[in-house]
Amino acid sequence: MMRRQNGFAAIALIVACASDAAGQECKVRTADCGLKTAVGRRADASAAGSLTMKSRVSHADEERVLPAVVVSVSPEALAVVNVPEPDEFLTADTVNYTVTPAFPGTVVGKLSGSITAAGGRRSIVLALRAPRRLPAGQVTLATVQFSTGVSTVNVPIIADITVRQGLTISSSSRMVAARAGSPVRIPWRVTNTGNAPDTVRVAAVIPAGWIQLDAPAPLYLGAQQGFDGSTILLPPPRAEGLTTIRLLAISRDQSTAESQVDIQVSGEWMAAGLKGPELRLGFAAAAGPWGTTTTMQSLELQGPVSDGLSLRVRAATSPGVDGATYALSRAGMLVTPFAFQLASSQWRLDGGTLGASVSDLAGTSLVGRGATFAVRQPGWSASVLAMTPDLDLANASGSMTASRFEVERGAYTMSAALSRLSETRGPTSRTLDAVALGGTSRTFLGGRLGAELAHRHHEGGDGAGWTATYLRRTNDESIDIRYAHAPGGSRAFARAAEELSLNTSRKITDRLHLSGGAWRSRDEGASLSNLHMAGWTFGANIAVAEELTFTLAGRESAFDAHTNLGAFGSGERGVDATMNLRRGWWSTQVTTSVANLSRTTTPAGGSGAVFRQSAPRAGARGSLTLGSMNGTSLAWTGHYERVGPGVGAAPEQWSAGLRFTSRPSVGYRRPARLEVSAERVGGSQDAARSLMLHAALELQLPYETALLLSAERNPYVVPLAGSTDWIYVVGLTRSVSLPRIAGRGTRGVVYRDLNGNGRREQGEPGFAGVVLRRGSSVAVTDRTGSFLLAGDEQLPYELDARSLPVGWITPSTMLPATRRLVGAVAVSPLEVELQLDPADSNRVSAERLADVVVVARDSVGREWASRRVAHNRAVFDAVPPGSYTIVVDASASSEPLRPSGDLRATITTGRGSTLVRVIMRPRQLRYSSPRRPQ
Amino acid sequence: MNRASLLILPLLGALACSNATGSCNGTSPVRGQWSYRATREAPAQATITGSLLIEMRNCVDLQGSLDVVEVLPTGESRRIAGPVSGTVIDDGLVRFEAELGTSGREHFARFTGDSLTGTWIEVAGPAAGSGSFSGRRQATP
Repeated sequence: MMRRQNGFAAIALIVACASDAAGQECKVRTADCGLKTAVGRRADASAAGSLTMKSRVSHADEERVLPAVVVSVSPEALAVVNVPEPDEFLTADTVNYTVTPAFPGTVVGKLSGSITAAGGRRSIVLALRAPRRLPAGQVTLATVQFSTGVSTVNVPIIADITVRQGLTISSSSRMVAARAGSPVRIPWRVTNTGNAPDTVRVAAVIPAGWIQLDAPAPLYLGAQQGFDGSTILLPPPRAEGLTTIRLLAISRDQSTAESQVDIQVSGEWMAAGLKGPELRLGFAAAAGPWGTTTTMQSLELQGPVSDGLSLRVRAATSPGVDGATYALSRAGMLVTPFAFQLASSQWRLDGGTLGASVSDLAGTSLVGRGATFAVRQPGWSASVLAMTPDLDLANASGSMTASRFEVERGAYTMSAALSRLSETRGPTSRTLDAVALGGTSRTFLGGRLGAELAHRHHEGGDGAGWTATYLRRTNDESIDIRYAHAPGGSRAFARAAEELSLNTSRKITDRLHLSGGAWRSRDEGASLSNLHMAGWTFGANIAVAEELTFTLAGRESAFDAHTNLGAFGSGERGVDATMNLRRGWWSTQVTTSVANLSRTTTPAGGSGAVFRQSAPRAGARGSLTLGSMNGTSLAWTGHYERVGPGVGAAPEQWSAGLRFTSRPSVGYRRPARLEVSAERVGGSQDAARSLMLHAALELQLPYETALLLSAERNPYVVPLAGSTDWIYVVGLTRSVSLPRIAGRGTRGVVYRDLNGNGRREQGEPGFAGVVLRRGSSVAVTDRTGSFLLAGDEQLPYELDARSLPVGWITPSTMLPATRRLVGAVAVSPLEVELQLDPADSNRVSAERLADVVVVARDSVGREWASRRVAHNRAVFDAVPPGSYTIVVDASASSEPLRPSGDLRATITTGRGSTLVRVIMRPRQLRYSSPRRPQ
Repeated sequence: MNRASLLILPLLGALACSNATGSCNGTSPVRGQWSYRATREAPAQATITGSLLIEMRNCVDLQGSLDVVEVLPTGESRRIAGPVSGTVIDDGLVRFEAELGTSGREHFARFTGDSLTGTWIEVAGPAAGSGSFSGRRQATP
């Protein structure tokens, strides 16, 4: 029993009683939900003016206005409010009260009673609950009427509803089909489920290379208000496959809700499954300091040539001028030697100029002209290579052959490799004959442990080599340890003769990330008879806020090399500090560093002279980038560095640059890309040649043709006397899609079966954007619903149900090979409500209806099962359009109920839920007169 | 940020007053424009050709630029260029570093008349790039 006002200040109970009502029964129960205890406050004079209700005091014929009681209430939470008796009643022995709840509030507990004198101010305590959907702001939840029999006072209780934020976002399609290089609209619906207006921005998290074409304008949504919108994305021209994007609902710069949508990107809508390789032809001309205009042509062929077989070919003519190679690469015209690749899911053949590796001990970094062939089967794989190091570029000779076999059993892999390698390039040569055995375990201490043993025979001798590696990566940490002992080192096709490295990183907290590494190696190269290297790094990344991070890093690296000219070494030890700040459409990065450089030189010849120099180095670099969503960005960069004397470094260097990039949009396309940059380099460099200028324009023309114009002035290009230091490039490319060699496939149509009869009839349109699959082949229906799916037409295929809008289904997603017409139907809910005849409701309990089974039978006799949501209500969540007969089975009921009335229902596409009421009648009573014999 | 600036600015100021000066007239046999031809021997084979410009900042310190095309192991080629700075060790020996992109390549060479031969190394972790190079004098600026 609580008798005083302060007695309820911290209770965790729901109480409704009069605090001074001696002997009055209080209602107390344990609260299992949010309970808010608050002392009601009387609104002051100024606040009272804004209240919707004011207290009225009646003294006989007199009526006065008193301030209301205001209490802060969270939606759905309980708030306890204390309502003191009016001052006018302090002297009254007994005060009666009546609580009148006002919609939409709820008052828990006793609604009327009396409070008696107890030597102080009396009050009543109420527990109030505000509905979840009640808007934020002030609302009257109840009125308390105090009465002494002589006078009456009404005290309104006003709830100050606190703001509850809530957002949801969803897409009407789980999968959307898109065409590579063409815009695609992603529909979504965002709903403000909170109780106050909110400003929402919908953003899409898209992969690199994708473009969001529409700027995300903020939406102002009232409480419980929804908005249907869409986001337009542009997949890159070569982005074929399945991609998942995230839609974020952002409020107050925080992502509050999220939804995922799969996007199936294909090259062509209808013939995506039969699309062959893409042929890209290029031509470019460059002019520059080398004096003559140089041209080159390139060819690239890439894509599937038949079912399960893909081809990649590349070739280019050489400009023959070294300087032109760089200039042409700026136009995207790489001077690449001839190479090809023919691949299936089980094997791969590479030919032409290649780079390959057998294993760490059996040969790495093999470069030459030849072929490799690899086979991969479940449980094992094998590969062989044969090539010559002669590339017509370095006067090399020799031969390289190798093979490798690997067996996989569960988490373990065993491998064997054989290699016979020899290479002579000018005065240097390297050889290796190796036999290696290796194994890995993917489950060792949560990581991958690998080891390899080998016998290595090389020019300098032979010996056993071994390697051990351990790699573990989790979301919070990574460890990478490597040790290798490879006699012969890089002169025998290894990375180094001895090598030990450790790299690790770990997330300490959400805001602190540590990383570090250390390494040491020794090698015996052809020109460097002995090379030692060592170093370490350690850094901490501190995220002060989501948009502000600091990185502190220490580092040291050194090498010591011996040559026929003597020995020379170098080292640097320093500390770097970096700040990254990103806020909206701009970002900046500033890095400062201090270091100490050291140089050691010992000339050969026995003089014994050792030259040691060291000098400090300090510098700073920074950048500021302004970017916008429509593809335009502007960035400033700059750096300044000073180095002390003695080590031969430039005493002072600085640079300042500006870069502008724009991809203006015309409709949904971005047909042009403009890039302009300027950088000034100063300090100890020659100022007259320290300005770099670059401008490039790329235009997308009709017929998959692109034109590129580029002009550049490079301060480091050494011009010939009297020649220009500008280089100019004009490039033109044309892409053509070729058909597949094999043209088998299934041609068909997906349509909207509006009446659900399984036959396509007039007025039933095709369904666009539906994805069909067979193996690795994918097809997407065009605007008429037609598709052409590659592969063996004798095999069944699959309709990806995710590509249908929500509410649309097909009878089966696995389709037989002979099926050419696929009907999709829109499903709707069907509700059946059972009612007892009112005349019998007193005789038979409605609970009996729970034993009645409800089934819907369609026009072809198929039965659909229902879900029971109440004793008298059954729901068929999703039934296709058509006519149904409701079948009611009351055989399980102890009361022989039977249905009456119309039991038919018709479901029509596009209509909402259909309700059918079924009257159930018990057995009829038979009356007989005792006077009349039966 | 402010603290870092406070630490670095005095150091930059001190360095600003510590430039090397020389008493010679800025001539040296290594000064001039050189053809540059190098091979990468580790970790992967590559050939590098281009030109090297060397100017003397004082009697021992040199500066200039290196402009080369490197044929990568995959057969592709790229042009890399950047500033050069270094020192003449004694008669006929020179060390210089070329800043090519984000990494530096240290060179150690002997020059005799119109020829330049030596080795180079690029430190970027445990497996460094290294090789030999040679040059022929093209012109003396």
